[in-house]
Amino acid sequence: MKKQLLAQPLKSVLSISVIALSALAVPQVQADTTSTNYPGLMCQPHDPKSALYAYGTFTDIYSNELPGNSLGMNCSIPRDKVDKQLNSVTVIVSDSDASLTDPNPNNSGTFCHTHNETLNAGSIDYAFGPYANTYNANGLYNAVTVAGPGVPVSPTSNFNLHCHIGVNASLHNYTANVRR
Amino acid sequence: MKQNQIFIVIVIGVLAIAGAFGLGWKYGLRSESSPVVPNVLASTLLNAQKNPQEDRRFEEMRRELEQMRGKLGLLEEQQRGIQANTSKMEVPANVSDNANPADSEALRAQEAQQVEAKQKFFKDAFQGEPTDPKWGQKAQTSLQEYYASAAEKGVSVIDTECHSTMCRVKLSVDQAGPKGQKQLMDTMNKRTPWPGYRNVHLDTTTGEVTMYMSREGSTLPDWQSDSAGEEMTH
Repeated sequence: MKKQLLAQPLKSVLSISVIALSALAVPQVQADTTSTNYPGLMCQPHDPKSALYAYGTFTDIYSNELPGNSLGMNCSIPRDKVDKQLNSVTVIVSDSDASLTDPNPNNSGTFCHTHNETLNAGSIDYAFGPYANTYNANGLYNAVTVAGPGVPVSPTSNFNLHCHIGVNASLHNYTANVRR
Repeated sequence: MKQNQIFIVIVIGVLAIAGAFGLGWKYGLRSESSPVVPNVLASTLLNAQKNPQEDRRFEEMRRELEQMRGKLGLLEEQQRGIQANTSKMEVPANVSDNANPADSEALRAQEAQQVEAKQKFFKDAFQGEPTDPKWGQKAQTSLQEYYASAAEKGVSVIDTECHSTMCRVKLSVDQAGPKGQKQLMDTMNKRTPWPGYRNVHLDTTTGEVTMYMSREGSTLPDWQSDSAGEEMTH
């Protein structure tokens, strides 16, 4: 009787173990996304005027712009790292331009978007992803996910991340997530 | 009694010699079948009979050797896997500077066709889209006002029109060269009235700009899926 009483739970445990091991044995669907991380200094102010308001540490790029303005910059995403399509970019920023009592991201001076630029004979085509605002993180590092431009890579196109950061904000690093 | 003792000694001696030969043969043969095992091992084995320390050392060496064999097997398997995958990989399009000029010419011609097809695709998609008067009117006014103020010097708004999931904005740049391109980019890099996907086409000969922008939460029609088979991406 005792044996039977013990055997039943043991069987159940054994069955669960077998199922769990079988599930582990099934090959997992491989993610088709790979990520490359770049330091903030891969971003460069896109005009000489705003360059005057930017300075960098060994990883970050900072804006000491005047309030009401923002530092616009292009962040390189080497094409050889993008096999098919730029899915999204995760940007780590420290945004302290808004007042501590204003958590509305729409009022933040920091926003980013991706774009793809294709040079053709006689024309240029640009594809922009929707911009993403950052939240007022009160000087703390904060991640914002920016959608890709929605077009695949071509032999004559370049990918870019474009960000504006407000006064006293900094861009620490960004990670390009690409479809392979 | 003496004869019995002598017999036992002889038997033990014969067994010892046979055992030594047996072991020597076993490890000697293994050393011949595998280049990884040095021939020294056989003699080490024989000598190990004499010294317990050497015996332990031999055992350690044997274990290390087995581990190395295992690792070698794994490496060989990995190499076979890599070779199999490499042979399956597609060869990317040659777009390097060393590409054949004829190929480059063909590529440019293909690109020009694609650009034209893409513009036609967006034009048809926009014109074929039903209108949402409530959203469309509001979005149209919003874009008109936004680009009238946000456009950089040298960039002018010509027309804005919105349907149900996308808008079309026509702009022009005074200078179609690099200066005009920069002015256009500076305009386009600003925060738009809503977050939407945009497709912008600049005709560098005329300075005409056509932009299609998606409604918030929508995407632009996928022109690549429409031109399946003509895809130039790799």
